[in-house]
Amino acid sequence: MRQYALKRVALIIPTVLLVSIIVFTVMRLLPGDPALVILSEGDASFTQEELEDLRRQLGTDRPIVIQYVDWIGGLLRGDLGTSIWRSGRPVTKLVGDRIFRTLELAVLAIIIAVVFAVPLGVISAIKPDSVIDYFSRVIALVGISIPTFFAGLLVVLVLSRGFGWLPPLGYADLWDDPWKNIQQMFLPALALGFYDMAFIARVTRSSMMEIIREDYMRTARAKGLAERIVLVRHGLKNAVLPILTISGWQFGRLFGGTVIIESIFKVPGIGTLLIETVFQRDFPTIQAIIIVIAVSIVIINLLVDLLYGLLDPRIRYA
Amino acid sequence: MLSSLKPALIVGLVIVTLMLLGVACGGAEAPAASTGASAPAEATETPAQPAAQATAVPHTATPPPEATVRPTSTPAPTIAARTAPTPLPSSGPKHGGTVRMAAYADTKDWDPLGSSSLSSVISYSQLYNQLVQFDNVDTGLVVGDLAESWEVNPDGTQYTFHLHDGVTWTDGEALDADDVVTSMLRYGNPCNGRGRSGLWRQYAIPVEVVNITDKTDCTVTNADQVVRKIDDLTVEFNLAFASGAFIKFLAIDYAKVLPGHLLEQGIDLNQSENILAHGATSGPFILEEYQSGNHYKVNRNPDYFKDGLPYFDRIEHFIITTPATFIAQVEAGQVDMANAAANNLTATENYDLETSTNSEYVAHDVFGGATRGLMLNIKREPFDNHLVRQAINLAVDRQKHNARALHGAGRGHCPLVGLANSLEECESWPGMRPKDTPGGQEDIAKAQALMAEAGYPDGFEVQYTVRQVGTYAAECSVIKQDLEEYLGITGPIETLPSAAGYAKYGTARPPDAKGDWEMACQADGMTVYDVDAIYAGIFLKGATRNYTDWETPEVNGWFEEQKVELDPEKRRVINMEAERWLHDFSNNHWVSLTLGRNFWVIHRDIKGFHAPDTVQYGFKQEHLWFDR
Repeated sequence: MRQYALKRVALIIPTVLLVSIIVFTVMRLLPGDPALVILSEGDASFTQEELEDLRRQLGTDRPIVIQYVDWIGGLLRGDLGTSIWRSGRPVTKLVGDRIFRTLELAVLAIIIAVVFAVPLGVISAIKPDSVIDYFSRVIALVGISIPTFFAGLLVVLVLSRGFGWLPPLGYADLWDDPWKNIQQMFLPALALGFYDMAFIARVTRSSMMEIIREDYMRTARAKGLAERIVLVRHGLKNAVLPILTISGWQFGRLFGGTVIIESIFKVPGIGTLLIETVFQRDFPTIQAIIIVIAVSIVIINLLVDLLYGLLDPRIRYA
Repeated sequence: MLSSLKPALIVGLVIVTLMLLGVACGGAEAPAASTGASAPAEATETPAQPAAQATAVPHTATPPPEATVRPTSTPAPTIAARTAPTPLPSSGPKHGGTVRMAAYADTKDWDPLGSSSLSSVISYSQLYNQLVQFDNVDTGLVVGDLAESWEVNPDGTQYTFHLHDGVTWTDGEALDADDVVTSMLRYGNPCNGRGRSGLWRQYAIPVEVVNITDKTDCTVTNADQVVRKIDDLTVEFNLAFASGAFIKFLAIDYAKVLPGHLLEQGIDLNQSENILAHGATSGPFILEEYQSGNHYKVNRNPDYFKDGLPYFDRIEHFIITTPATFIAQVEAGQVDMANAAANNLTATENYDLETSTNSEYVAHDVFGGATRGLMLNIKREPFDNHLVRQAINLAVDRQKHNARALHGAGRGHCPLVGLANSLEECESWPGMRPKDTPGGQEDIAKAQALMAEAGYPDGFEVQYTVRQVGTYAAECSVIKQDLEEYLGITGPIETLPSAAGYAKYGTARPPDAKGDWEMACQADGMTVYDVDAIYAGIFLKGATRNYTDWETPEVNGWFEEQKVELDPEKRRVINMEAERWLHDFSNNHWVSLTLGRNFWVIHRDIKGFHAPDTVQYGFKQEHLWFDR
């Protein structure tokens, strides 16, 4: 198990390195010049000389390899550089200020998804073709079909037009004002987690349907165990592995997928930062955000794999 | 089986329902309550003296000699007059209240040095003052801000400003001539980007530094010749030539006076943390909090040097970049107004917002200061042929462009956007006439004849390029329809992300390059409503939108002649001639199309607002107040 864990940890290094090269190269290959963006904001006037000066200041006039070596060197020292868009502001601070909010949103979304999806999937499995099952399947279908950004807009428009209410403006951090924070985060988390809820509910249903037909379930019932115990201890416990796998993947997706939802609900996380910086061609910040997201997804996958070992002795002893 | 699960299920459902109810009913901070204007004691307070000052153009500078002051040569044109119902206030200005404003984008810079960012100037404008500013009521008129008065020497090349006495920074230090000189020399220093804070550079004696070649030593060597401290309350500016436009570029919100004592210590005032930590601002409001990407909040400066101003106790700016979210927040009453004439909505969406809120919110028209045009790459065939360019200018249907692309909110215009020949006058010119009139038909026939003469009787294939910003794509598709129908010019429209579009246009800049684009739909924004801004934006070599470096001795001559002409009428006459020549298209690269319109969405209970001439100034918010 330890060797397995070490191997998985060691794999993080080439993965992140590869991501860094891809991100850096793609950003430089994309058309668009940050100096032009800065000078042209609001269709402002500038001269060619000013444009070249700014390119020199930003360092974007240097060869791409030198720019990469500089950047990766800084990354290893924990220095992600300074933002082009927000002149002089350290990227580490920009990203650091916001990452917890995105993490909070993703955690809340996955909690909402799992809390709703697992009971729905289980009930649907044990009562196939019942009203609840049909309801669950419709919800799952709608959830999978509606894009996250549309779900977000629907929530906003229904609440503002239908009820004249929206979560309070002006983001409050969880530890500063927990109640306001929950009001602000619940709806984006719901919109964000809707797709995942649908997906997890479907997986739970099919997984449970398979398990309730297993011999050991029949044996458990034959022993006279209460149905609740049979379903939870023997059924759900065995069905949890695929659910955990999917939830882990979904959490990674959520972490990277907050971009639009954060923008719609005004959550100042790294998603909104990514949108702002992409439009401004702020290469150092974009690179940092993508690296952070990539590393997070790699770590989440690692944790899920390690959790497998804890939950399933067959993997632990293999 | 299900029965055994029921208790758990019911408990779960109850918990979830309670959570939903709790969240849905949790709007503890109702917008009305948050304004604070409802507080009886404050809401009824009517400070008579400040009110009088505010409406009577306070702090107007001593009028300079008439010969040296150039008012805008032509009043800003009216565009398809559309009056929004604004009820009269029930009384004079009232103090108090917290106003919630929507910002269309996040703040990029907190220091005006090199800043060209509209979203940024909106933020820092409340914190600092300029020497002069545009008047709150007569919004094209320059009046004093930190300057109590000023005079100009007889030949118009020297401006002497007299500062208000007793103005202090919020850290207690005196604001004096040293701060002005330090700030202006930063903006004027050629080592620094000009941005919009340094637009006045083009008129002043150039600032010289020790080493400009590789910028190793940017110490100013001729400070006294450019901006000079006479005494603690007097500053002198020296111009390279007399110019009435100079003072306008000094009046825009970008040209702020910053605390020299902090700049000299090397404190980076571009970082909001440093502004918060050092607390040395002079403006009507003091920064209380900034949360990147979400909001910033400012409080009334109790020691503001303008008696009785500002009226609001506090302004909370929320950064709302998504149009749907902005609409929803306005409809839910979560914001009282936008903090600029920029909200990412189309004209129709702005009108609809008035309707959906039962006119509780008014979308005030602001002359956008942006001229929309069709750029022609004169370095490439067939646009190197002036007959083709002339034909295109004649065949474009400005009325259709306005109706379809700008939702009828704009107005067709000639090259100098009503600052030379009036818009009414130029509407009768060839190319400007509606295509369904005899004049318009004549224009089409002439355009077709020109195409035949140029060797393209059946038109040609071309690629249009647009940036995925605003209405550019819609504009190009309308133009494409016209040119295809009338001249047989056809081809695809290429849409590019904003930065990619600029990069592509830039490929035509180098002298030996032809550029990777042929035709493009683009606008040029004016900081101030003055022809100099249009020349510098479109019609001079190196101008922002002159990507092919098109240049003619005629236009250069007119520009030089008019920029030193101090008599507004004489200057207008020069520009009228230039405009006729430009519109004739015997040689031009920019087909002028339509003047756009921007909207400043404001709740009807907020008073004291007067639309500025362009979207680029008027952000101190010191004259606004709640009539609640």
